[in-house]
Amino acid sequence: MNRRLTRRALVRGTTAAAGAALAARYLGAAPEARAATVVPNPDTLFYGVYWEPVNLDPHAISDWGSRWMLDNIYEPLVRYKTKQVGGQTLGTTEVEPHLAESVQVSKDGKTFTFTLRQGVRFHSGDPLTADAVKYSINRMLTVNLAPASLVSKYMDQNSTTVVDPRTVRVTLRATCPFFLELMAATDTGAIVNPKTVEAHGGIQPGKANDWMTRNTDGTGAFKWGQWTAGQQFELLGNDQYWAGPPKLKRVEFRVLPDFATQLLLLKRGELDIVYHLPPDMTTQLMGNPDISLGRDGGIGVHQVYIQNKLKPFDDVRVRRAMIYAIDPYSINRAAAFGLATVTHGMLPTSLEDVMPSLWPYSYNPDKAKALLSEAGYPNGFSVPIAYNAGNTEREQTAVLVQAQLKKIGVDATIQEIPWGTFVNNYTDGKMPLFVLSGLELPIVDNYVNSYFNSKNAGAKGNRNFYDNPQVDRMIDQLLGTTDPAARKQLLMRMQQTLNADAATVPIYDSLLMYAHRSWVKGWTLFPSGNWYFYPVEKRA
Amino acid sequence: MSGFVWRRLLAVPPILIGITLVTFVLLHTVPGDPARMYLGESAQDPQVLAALHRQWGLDRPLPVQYVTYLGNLVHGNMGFSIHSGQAVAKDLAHYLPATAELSLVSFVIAVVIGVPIGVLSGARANSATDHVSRIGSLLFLSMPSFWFGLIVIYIGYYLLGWLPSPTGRLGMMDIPPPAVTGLYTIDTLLARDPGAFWRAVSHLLPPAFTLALPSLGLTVRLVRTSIVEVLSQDFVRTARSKGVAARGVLYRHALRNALIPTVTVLGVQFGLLFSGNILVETVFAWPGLGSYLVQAIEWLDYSAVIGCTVLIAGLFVGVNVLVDFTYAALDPRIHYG
Repeated sequence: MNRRLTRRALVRGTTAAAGAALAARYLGAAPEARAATVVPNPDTLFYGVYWEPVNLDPHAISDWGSRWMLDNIYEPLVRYKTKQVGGQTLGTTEVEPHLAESVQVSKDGKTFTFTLRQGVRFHSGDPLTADAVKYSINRMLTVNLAPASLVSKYMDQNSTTVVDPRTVRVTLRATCPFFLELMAATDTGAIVNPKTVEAHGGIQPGKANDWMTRNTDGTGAFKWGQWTAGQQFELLGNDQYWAGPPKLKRVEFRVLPDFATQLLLLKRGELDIVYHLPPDMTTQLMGNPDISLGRDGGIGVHQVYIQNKLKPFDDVRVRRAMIYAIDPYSINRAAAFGLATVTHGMLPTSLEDVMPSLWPYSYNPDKAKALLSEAGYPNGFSVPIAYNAGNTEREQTAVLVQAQLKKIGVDATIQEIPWGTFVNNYTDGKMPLFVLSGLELPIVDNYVNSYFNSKNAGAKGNRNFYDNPQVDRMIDQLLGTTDPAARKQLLMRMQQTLNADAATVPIYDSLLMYAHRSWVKGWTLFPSGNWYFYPVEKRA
Repeated sequence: MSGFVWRRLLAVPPILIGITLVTFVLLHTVPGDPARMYLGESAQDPQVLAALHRQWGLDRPLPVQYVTYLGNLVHGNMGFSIHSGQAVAKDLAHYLPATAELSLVSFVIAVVIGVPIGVLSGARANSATDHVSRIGSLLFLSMPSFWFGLIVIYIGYYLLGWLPSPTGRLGMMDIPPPAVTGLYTIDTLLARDPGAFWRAVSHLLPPAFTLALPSLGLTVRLVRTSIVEVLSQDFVRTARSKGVAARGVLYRHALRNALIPTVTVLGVQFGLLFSGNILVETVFAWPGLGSYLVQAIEWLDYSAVIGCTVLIAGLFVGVNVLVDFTYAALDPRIHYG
């Protein structure tokens, strides 16, 4: 029921989990909804959510709810491409020009020249100019909150120059092989209207702009509509959009903290789409001709984190024993009803150059036992395993892990911890084992750097407190390498080392899952997690 | 009487201060850092974190933080909510009307239905009516209301289609009325929109009824017991022997005396309706204080949690003071002063 979504909070359940679980069992007998012949309200999409955006200032956000709204309101110079697979449109992790018409990259990979698309206007009517682009990039760097955290080491206020009214050049201090991918993010790359920002308080270092946290002026296909906190908010179609007006006139979001309620409304056809119903409810929708399920692996791993510095997990044999003892397939069946993709490796499957064939482990309790004896624990040990209260997917996982560890003599006690304390405990490295999933940018450099660099232990993303100087060096090397063959080679060696070190127990790729009425067409899943309503329409 | 009023009112501020102290201490014993929650996990730059701690005063010793908070509170500043990004006072003003509307209507349902049934049941003790009402009230009292809410939604909305969609205060297509009081039933009338008024009422009644059931059951049982007890007392026998009609005995003599214990309990119940409807709010997507408080607790949103607690406690204390005054009105033998 958490209404503010952070990356790792994304796949969370409701606090009324008891109610939801009960309802799920009880609603299991529900008859199928009557098939509708006409599409009701064809130009309005009704979206059931359990969260709300926190803030609408793109350069200051850190939660997914806000990001999903801003995906449709503000636009970056480049954006993630789509591809056609078997007649289906899928998002990719590659970028293409968007507000820019073309991008030229210098040979050394440090200078980027963007030629702007013509005829683009902000919602207020002002045209998009090269000055606005420079202003936006410099504002993002000055505000210096989450959206700036990854690019700020490559650029400063002097990096961006206006060549002519249609051309902007960015010169980086050092090579950044994923600069365009970073700028494709809705928050980091958002182009704001300088006139509007200056008219409402201007740029404040280290802070969001108060006016902009509740009001918007972007170039996107939708504008921000009415927002009644705790209840509803809306996106309104922008008829003046540069690529033509969107097919939907309105996207109406209704805040429904209880998943059971969302499910009933979807079955009755009052809601058009819901995001991430618990898997047990999703399975009830399978085979329903009025409802389509969309799912994909996100950039993240649902995993059992191991605090590598705490005894007995400072011994690599014990960590390997954990991987041998835990069966990801049975957890997929129980916690995700078999809908997820089991991860064979330390990195999410859809990242660049991820090689599942390198994974040396499989479920093998005997081997796990042998490894434990070798490490000096022939009779196992006792350990707590934690998850955040209210998340049924993680709870299920913890329960199964407990049962599986029992088979190798490890006595795990399950701890259910409220979210705030949970975050605090894992950033401080206080929990030896805990279940968590997340969604990250589709940039392999960013992923390995935040999850496995010893410099980022704790708060910055390395929650396993994994520490291998050899891997640190490989990460530094990767961050400066642009040649694809060299990167592939480097990533292969890195994955071999990470696998051998067994820093964590991967289970499956974070599950992106939507259920929508079959009359909703054009909804596209992106591994990066973006939501774009521009191509969406409702028709029979 | 006025001396009593003043003494009662003077007791309120110390109670509220005590509540802020307890909440403050409890919140700070929970391990966690609101600044970390605010920044999100990807931007945990120690410098930014430290800057936020300074900005919010979290780097100062706890007693200093507490005194600062109290000082601000006296000036009407309840602080800033990290999970909503708004001033806490503004949030409370937004969420309170939804809870108030729901609680008031539930309370009215509980009293208007509960008292007559209790009287009837007590006057005809051990009759068939009495047995039915006693079993019914026991059922209402013991049934978890969120579970009953799920059944109401499943049967009334999903299967039969008689009830409106469980989408909170309004239906899918409805737009909130212009905010005047924040109570939709009143705002829609002020906007002279009878259609919207009926939609607001139809969305309000199912959760209000669900929420009212336990209080309703309790009211029936209390009134019944008191009536049975009062009817066996000497003054009732006297009234009867003087030839007062049965109705007159019941309503003029017995009910008034029977209501005194009931009012005490109902006062507490009214306070509980304000604070105890989190699960019902969740099931019916009712955007009230309960949902807001749960959010605030999850996010270690100190100011929002204390603000909410103080508001609910204030309402509770206020109702209790009112209850004390009601005694005097109900029973002339009770004198204050």
